[in-house]
Amino acid sequence: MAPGPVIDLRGVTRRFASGVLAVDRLQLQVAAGNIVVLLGPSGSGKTTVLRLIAGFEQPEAGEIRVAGRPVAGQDVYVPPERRGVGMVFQDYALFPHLTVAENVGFGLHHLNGRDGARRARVQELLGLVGLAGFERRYPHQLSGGQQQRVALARALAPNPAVVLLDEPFSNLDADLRARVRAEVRDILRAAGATAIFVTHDQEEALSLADEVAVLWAGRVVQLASPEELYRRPATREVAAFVGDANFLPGRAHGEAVVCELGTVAAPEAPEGAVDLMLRPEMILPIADESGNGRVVAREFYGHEQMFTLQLDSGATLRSLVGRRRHQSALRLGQRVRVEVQGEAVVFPAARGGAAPDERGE
Amino acid sequence: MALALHYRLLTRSVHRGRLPDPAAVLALPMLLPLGYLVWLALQARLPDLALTLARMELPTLVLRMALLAGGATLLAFALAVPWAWLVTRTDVPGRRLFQALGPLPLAVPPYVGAIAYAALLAPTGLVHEGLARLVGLSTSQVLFPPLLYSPAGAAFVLGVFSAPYVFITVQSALERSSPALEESARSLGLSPAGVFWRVTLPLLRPALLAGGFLVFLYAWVDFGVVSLLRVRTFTTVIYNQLLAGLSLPDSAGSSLALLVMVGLLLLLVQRWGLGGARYTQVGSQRSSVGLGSRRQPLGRWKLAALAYLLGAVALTLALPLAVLATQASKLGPLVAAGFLAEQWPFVRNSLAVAATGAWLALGLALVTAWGQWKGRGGLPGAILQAGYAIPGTVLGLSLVGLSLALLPGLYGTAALLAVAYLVLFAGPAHQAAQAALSQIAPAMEEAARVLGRTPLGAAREVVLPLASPGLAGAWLMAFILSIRELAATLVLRPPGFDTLPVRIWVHTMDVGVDPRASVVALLLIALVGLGWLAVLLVRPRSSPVALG
Amino acid sequence: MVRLFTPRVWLAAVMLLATACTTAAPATPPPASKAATTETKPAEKLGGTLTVYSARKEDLMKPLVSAFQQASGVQVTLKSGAPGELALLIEQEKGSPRGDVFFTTDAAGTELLRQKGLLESYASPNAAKVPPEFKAADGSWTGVIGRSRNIMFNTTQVAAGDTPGSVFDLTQPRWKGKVAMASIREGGVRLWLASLLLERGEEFTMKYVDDLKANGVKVLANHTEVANAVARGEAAVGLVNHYYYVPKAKEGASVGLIYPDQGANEIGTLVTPLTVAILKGAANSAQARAFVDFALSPAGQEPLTTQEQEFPLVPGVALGAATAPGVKPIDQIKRPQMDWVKLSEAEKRAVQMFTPVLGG
Ligand SMILES: Nc1ncnc2c1ncn2[C@@H]1O[C@H](COP(=O)(O)OP(=O)(O)O)[C@@H](O)[C@H]1O
Ligand SMILES: [Mg+2]
Repeated sequence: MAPGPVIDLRGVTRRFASGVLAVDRLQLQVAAGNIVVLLGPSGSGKTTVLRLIAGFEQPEAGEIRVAGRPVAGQDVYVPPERRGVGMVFQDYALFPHLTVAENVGFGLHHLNGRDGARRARVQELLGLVGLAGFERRYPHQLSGGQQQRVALARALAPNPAVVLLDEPFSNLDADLRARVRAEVRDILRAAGATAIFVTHDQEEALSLADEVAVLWAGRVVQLASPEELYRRPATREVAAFVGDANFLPGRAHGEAVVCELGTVAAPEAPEGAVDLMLRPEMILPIADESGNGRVVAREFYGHEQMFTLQLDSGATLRSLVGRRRHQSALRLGQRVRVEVQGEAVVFPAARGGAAPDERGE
Repeated sequence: MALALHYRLLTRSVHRGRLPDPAAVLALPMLLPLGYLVWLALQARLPDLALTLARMELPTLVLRMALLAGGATLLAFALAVPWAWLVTRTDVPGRRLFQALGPLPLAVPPYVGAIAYAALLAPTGLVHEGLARLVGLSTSQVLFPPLLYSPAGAAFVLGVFSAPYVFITVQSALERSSPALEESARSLGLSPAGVFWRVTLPLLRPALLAGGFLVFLYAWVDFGVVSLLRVRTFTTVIYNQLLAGLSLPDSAGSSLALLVMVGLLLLLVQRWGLGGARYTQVGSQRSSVGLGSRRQPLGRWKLAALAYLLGAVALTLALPLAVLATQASKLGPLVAAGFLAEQWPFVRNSLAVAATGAWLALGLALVTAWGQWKGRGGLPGAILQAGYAIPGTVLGLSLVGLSLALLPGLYGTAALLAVAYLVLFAGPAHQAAQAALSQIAPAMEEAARVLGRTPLGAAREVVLPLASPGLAGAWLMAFILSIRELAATLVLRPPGFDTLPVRIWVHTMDVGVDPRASVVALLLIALVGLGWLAVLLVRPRSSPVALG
Repeated sequence: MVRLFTPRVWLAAVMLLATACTTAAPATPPPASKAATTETKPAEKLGGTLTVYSARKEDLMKPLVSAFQQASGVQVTLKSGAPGELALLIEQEKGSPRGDVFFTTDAAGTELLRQKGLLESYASPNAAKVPPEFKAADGSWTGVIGRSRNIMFNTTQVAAGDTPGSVFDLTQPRWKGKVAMASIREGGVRLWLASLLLERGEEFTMKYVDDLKANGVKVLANHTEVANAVARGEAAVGLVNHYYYVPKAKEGASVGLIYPDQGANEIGTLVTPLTVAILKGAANSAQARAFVDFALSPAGQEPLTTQEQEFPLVPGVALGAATAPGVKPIDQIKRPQMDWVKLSEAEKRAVQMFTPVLGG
């Protein structure tokens, strides 16, 4: 693989005629073979980023390179058909007048006249997505999951430098979604493809990605592996968006923070007033009549359960407890003492509303 | 290589907005006749113009025309929407036949329809005579109200014969949209009628708007029917001004006033009609229309539905055709056969200019509808409507002056007729093409683009094939409107180059309807009908189910 | 995979059909002959082509056209249209006319074209005998045939000595409920009322029409209805153009024709001409002149008047064979002298004044 990122966005800005600044000085690099997920709330500019990469939108400023070649920027514009990117659309956009084979072969027009080679490539991809034998079907004769895989095969067929997928699973039933997600990831891995997914579903992002780029108001606020993102979110907002988060005010001293729950280890905390972020699994309620909180809700998931605790100060905490623990005995209304396990992430104390964090990267 | 570079520069410039929108570039020349009219109107002395307009009693005229056009539109909706819905979505008996019949009334030029209904319903008409005979008196002794000779009568005739505009747009929209939506509404507990009102109708809004707008506009600028049925409207007033020796400049002013009204109307419709909503249905959901299992069973409503369709067919086709046939039969079979044989040159002329005009109109409409579909604004499309709103006689006369000034070689050739049809009917063609395209998700084109197709390639391989049923409708509409056009054709045809409507006119000239006019009218109707059936036969099934 | 009827296949098919038709059809009319000579003697077979803009019903023009073609060898192309429309077309074509001759039912429209300088003046030798009110002094146009405005009566209901001698008699009580006329939508009615406006003034004409209405005149849809009503005896008398009487008379109906107001102090019977004119700049002017000459010759008047419509305007030319008894030749009709432009202006006034009473 060539060194350097396959996708390279530098300072990319896109403002719509309506005045909306959809993408704001965005930086994003994607290495070959990586699956990057663009995660962000609805309206944060994810689709616009994909369309900029594909060539359906043009940046107002900044530069886009695909496989090292500038495709958009100052005085450069390469139209979508010559960018060498593949795309899987939210609703698949399969061509209803073409068969499955014709859909998959659609991007192989460089093989025009070489029917053998073309057919072989189509077969190869249908095999890859597990749809061998479906060549002559029409899209409307397929299930949603099958259509999804045809769309993927079609996008992969011309060997694009990168495959862009915009909320590809949002049209699927919840139970199908997890399975298809894994399938798609495996297919992409098997094909050795570089891919950028777009989703607003953090669970999906964490389960799919090699790297997650969190998009907030048109900017990447954090680019990190799923673990890193979960453990060390860059901002309060990222922390809240990715996984469940409990926030408590506190005061930092050295490597520790003093808060309502006592002293919590926090290696990188600045001095002074801070907000402490604790993941639910870091919070352990222990039955104790002299404790400073009580159980107000319980959700049972079989292998684990989620408690909602209310502290005497009024703050509520979510606590996730594994099955093996003894907390299964906790009842609603029972008074508890709260223990913190592990290290907390610390943010500067919030001042008023939760405006998008300006610190960025 | 050089070519590729050029192409690259071109696409880049278009993308950057440096090159003007091709739709606008192509649509602007359609404003030339309008510009010429403005220029002519400026030649008229202002006081004269003001006087002309003042004498027209504008408020009364406008009110009458609004009632006329509104009534026609409502009647067209009432006839065509259930018709289209029954044949595409239910198991009504004979639905393929009724489906094929739906657009056919377009083949009956409304002025012919008016002649037929007048022969039936006017005083001393067939009904009057029948009634008189029933009571054993002569027609002059039996009072018969001239019902047809009123704005309501004109609205009736216009509504009946322009119902197919609504049928075509609504039917193709229904074919393109998924029954799944309706099915899911059924499953949510809505009755079939509830589904129709709360799901189907809202989904059809763009189609209804497009079709309804065509009917309204047609009725608004109609000349043939209102003049036959003696209803004073703007167009008859303009025509009378022209014939009363008023110069073209004077009536140019009135025509412009008419046009301004149409323009306002158009703005109104677009404002209040479509808003910013897109009624796109994604391709993957497009499902198997044409499979019996997806149709709503009508159950005990089957007979009522059938009766409705039969009634609609009677009003729009059977009755007027029967009257025409009765009139034509007065000629006797031998004479009729000989007369028919003489019509071949006119058939050929009609086909040639109408087909050429329709292709030109569709070509232009595609460009403008495409631009609109790509979100580049509806202005070029709106420009095209101007031609539709200019009375045919005025347009014809202004094209004479215009072509003599700009392209003298074109004047006096049949090609100018095709150009006139382009100017007149690119508007309706645009509406139909736009309705067809609006049913296609933009992602379809984008998918083709990322798979290596140029904009043109994507259009050719994906969007056009998908839109083709609707585009065929657009072509057919332009063709039918062209082949039956009379007013501009009368003025512009080269001497010796008559079309079928011209022959109908020739045979109704001065003295009332001649049986030969009915024969030619039947011929024209048969021709359009055959054309429609041919298109229907070679048309792909609405769902691309594999054959092999 | 093999789908025979793809959208493109049928689109192409329709396109082919269209193209085939287009190429099969002549895109232009036959080119005008440049080899026209000034020779106008039809006997020598002039040849060439001629385009006639005609506002007269095509069936009625065909006999004249074929007779002329026979006599001259000129190939004639007819472009039929409404009188006003053709006049406007001629105005638009100013400078490069595509027609050579204008044949119309509307003398006023022709006179307006003359005033705008769109007509070629040509004093046909055959026009000499045409009464002066039926031709332009400068020879720009000439009346060819005429129509008169008559009263038709049912002979079983009205005795020969009892007929009304004047249109103004029809307001008398003895005609109460016995008169039929056509609505003002008929051009003949409009011109007749216009001539009354010019001859007798607005006040008089208004009162006359009111009196007619008060006398129970039946206003029918058109002249055919009026003629039918008289023939069937549903009306004793009817106001019609003379040629509505002709077919009824030939059918053997009990009808008679009156030329009203023929007395010494009376206004006379209105006669309106159909005119022929040569367009300024006509490409085939020799053929055009030959056509005008021919139309005014006995050989041309004959086919123009065979079809029971108009009568010759050239005194001395016999009435057409199809003309029914009772129709008079032009030199036996006393008629008002009309200024055609004034008449056409009065026509507009008549429409304004009388549509409320005589519309429908
Ligand atoms: N074509 C457009 N015109 C105007 N505004 C747009 C357009 N497309 C997107 N936007 C706006 O840009 C912002 C980002 O949109 P988008 O990229 O679609 O967000 P996401 O995919 O993250 O939901 C939103 O505020 C949206 O309203
Ligand atoms: Mg999005």
